[in-house]
Amino acid sequence: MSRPSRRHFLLRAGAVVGATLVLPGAALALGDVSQVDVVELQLPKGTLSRPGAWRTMLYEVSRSTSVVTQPDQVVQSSPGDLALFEHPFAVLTGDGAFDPLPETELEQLKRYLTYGGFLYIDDTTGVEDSEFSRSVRRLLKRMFPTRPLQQLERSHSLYRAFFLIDRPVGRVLGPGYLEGIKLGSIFPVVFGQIDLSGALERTESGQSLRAVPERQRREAVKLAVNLVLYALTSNYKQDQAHVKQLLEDNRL
Amino acid sequence: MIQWLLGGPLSTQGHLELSASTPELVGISVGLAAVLVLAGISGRKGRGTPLWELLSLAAGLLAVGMAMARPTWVESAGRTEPGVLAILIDDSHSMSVLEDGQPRSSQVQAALDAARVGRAEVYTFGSQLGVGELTTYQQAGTDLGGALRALQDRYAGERLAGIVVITDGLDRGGLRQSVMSTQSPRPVDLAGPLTVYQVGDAQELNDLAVVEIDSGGYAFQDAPFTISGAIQGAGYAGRSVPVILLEDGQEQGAQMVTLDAQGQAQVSFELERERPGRHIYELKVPLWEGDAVPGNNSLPVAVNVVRDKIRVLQVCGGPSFDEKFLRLFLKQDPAVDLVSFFILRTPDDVNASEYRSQELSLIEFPYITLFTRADRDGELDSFDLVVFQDFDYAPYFAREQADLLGEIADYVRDGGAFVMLGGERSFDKGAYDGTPLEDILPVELGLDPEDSTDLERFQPTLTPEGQQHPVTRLLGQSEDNSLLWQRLPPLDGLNLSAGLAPDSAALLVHPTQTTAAGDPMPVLAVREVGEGRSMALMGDSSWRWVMSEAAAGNGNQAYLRFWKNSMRWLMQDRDGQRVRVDATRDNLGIGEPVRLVARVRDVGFEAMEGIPVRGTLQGPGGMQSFEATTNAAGEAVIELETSGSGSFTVQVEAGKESQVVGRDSTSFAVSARDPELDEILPDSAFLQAFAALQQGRYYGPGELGAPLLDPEAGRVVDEQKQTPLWSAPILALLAGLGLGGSWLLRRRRGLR
Repeated sequence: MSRPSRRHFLLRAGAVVGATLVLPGAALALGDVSQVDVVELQLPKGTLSRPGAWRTMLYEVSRSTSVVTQPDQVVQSSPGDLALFEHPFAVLTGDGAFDPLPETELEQLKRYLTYGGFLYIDDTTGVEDSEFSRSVRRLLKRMFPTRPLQQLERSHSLYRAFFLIDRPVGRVLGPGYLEGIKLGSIFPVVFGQIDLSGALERTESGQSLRAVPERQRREAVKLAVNLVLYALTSNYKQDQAHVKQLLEDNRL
Repeated sequence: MIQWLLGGPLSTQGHLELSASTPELVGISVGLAAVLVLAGISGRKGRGTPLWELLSLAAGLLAVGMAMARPTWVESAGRTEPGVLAILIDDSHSMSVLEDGQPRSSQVQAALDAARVGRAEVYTFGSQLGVGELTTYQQAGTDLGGALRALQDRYAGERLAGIVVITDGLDRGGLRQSVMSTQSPRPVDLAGPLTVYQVGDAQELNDLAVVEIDSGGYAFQDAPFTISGAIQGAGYAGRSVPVILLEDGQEQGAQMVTLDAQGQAQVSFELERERPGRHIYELKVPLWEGDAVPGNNSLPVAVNVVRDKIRVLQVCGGPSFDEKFLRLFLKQDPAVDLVSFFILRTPDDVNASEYRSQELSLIEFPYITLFTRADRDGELDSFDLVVFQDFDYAPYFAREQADLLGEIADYVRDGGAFVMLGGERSFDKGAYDGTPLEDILPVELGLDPEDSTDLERFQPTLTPEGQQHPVTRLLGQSEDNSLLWQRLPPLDGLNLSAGLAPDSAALLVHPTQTTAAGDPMPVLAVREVGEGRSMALMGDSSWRWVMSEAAAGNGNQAYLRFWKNSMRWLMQDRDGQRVRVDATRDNLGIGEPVRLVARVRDVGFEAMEGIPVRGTLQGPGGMQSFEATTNAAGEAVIELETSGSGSFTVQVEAGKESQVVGRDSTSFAVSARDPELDEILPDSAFLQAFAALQQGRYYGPGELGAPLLDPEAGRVVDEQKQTPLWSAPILALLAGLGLGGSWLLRRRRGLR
């Protein structure tokens, strides 16, 4: 058997790059539903809709990774809508208090998360003990009374799902960590108080809507990509082959 | 003369008994009185007084009445008989053990001669009591307690002069255990004093035996396991003994062990097997001259080598919802050791230049190691299942395509398992047409890649094969299973194919799409390739079987069952084999016939009737062939004689020779061992303890003293003499004189 050439090494490392900013060509999934999209959970009050931010996230995922997305596909849904189950990646963005969910909606959202759905909760206030944050914590405590929110450790797969991330940041620097609810070995709920969507949202012409240092915005993009990759690969990056290789390369 | 008149000699110690019942006596009395009254009335007409006539008639009638009452003179007397000495001879197989060249039973006669005094009655015992001295020394059990209880019943209420037991003491009925392991054993209720004559002398015994073999019953593939055993050598203390380990009759190793002062030694062999399967292991020691029991020189045990974990290689062309749910399923199964490689970035992903490699967590895709077989230092053979999930090989190993795809194809033919899942990088879309991998897929490729997908949603249809096949059998009842498949959500799109490959079966098909040949378009297909298996799911949205079911409150059982079934079938779990043969018992005694059941299923797992089944039974006595035909249940039942002891291997092949359905094999063991001979050293300790417990007498081997007897024993025999008086001449004489005298007196008075 021939030895792998440098070209093959680059391919193996996934390091082949293109300098031109182009969207991936053909859609690489059979049917639209199987392509990755985002559903925004909408509540009567306290939540925001920032589809532009999540389109940016899907776009960045498409151009940086092999994940096939529908960059224009950001839909809104209430927790009680069965259509939620067609979109396994959900976000809940907010800046204010919201009312407790009715029991049926709470149960349905819990079922969604238990059977494979993923929810990123984005507190846009930049305030540690915000009204939104308190509502979120009440919601999660009702939904998973025996599983408290816990900080994701530095070695968590989310921080290495595609990019290596030292500190999760969004529009604001925040507390320096993300929190999550752990079911089994994965975290189907991740909660960030860094206004990630604020850092991602852009104008039609591609300009950032909010003043965010470019370096911080770049880190926010990396986190957004990692969120999608973590939602799709869960603890893949904890597999021994990955940890061993990354340690050998001094990347961990 | 008087004795003659009375019908025999009568003693004054007797008493009279009337045999007639009370109603009979009343009837007789009334009848006779009536005759007397009638005679009196009619006698008044004659001359003179009828007094003497009536007295004479009354005497005659009294004699007749006495005869009709059937009187018997009963005399009772009793006598005392001497007590019985019951002698019990151990007739079990252990009595045939050779000691110094002679069977142990040859010592019985001397003991019997010493014990037989007075009124002796002889019995034998093995698992039950036998009357008489006829011995075979072949009985398969020894139940001394049971024999003593049977003796007690037989002589219920009778005091015996003594009970003699002639035995080697190897009781297996519970008495020995009770006496030796109970702190304060209770004596057995015996009808006479006990004397024990031990036959058999451990000093005269030479026997080498494998007395124990232990394997735990199963072992894990690719993990060490131990076959251990215990060797006992009576008469060989301190000797070195070679111990051989056989696997399915083939020698696997040998060790020398040294017997300790008690003639015992332990032995263990460490093994490791690369493939699952069933094996018969046998520990064997040599048969030296004068060996008391040749049948205990080997001991077999069956071991099932099973998978510890199913090692799965999941390779994905890119993260997706379909990949996510399959990985979650595989990860949550503790029986699966999952190695995943996801292509996180391809040459088409253009944004990488913005980031330094130090910012990325990407690692090398070691495809050459992964897809190279063990004989070329690769890892491929370490996996039980390889899954290509929307993965196209071309960007990664186009140059080694023939090599690596060929390696995978060979791996499957040699017993591996392969699954290709659909997507825009799979089947014709992944340019697998014409590659070695196409040869092992259950679908044929060759479509124009641009026209090889259908993006419309559709509801897959379960085929008749799918109704039966273990992969798609999500519920036990066929109707329920069909309803469940109809209830599952539609799939989002389909990779099209040119149709089914040879030896394949479609389990799910498209409801409307057809192949160029007009056959339903396969959605889920399976194939047996050489020794291995492959499966193709021509879509990338099976994850919807989880989420849609969860939305409806049905959980994720349908998805989990589908993949669990698939894994079991792909791993060739025995339940998923089309041809399977089993022996109805793992261990047989020597000479016992074996009953084999061969089951044959088609690709769709329906029973196949009328299928020829050919096979061989290979054992120590040679090989025999057999043929049978499956019945309507798809089963062929074969009963074969076994010859010799050891490991037997059955191999079957079902189908016509030109079109073999499948093959299977199994093993079983035939042992020459007699459980009665598992222990052969005479148990002096038990016999002494038992005799002491019963306050009896014990004689060791060769000691031939007198038995312990109870002089008071015996029994009183009641005798009764009955002399029937009703037939005695005196009654006939009295009746004749009375009736005749009455008749004469009546005539003299002028009457008739």
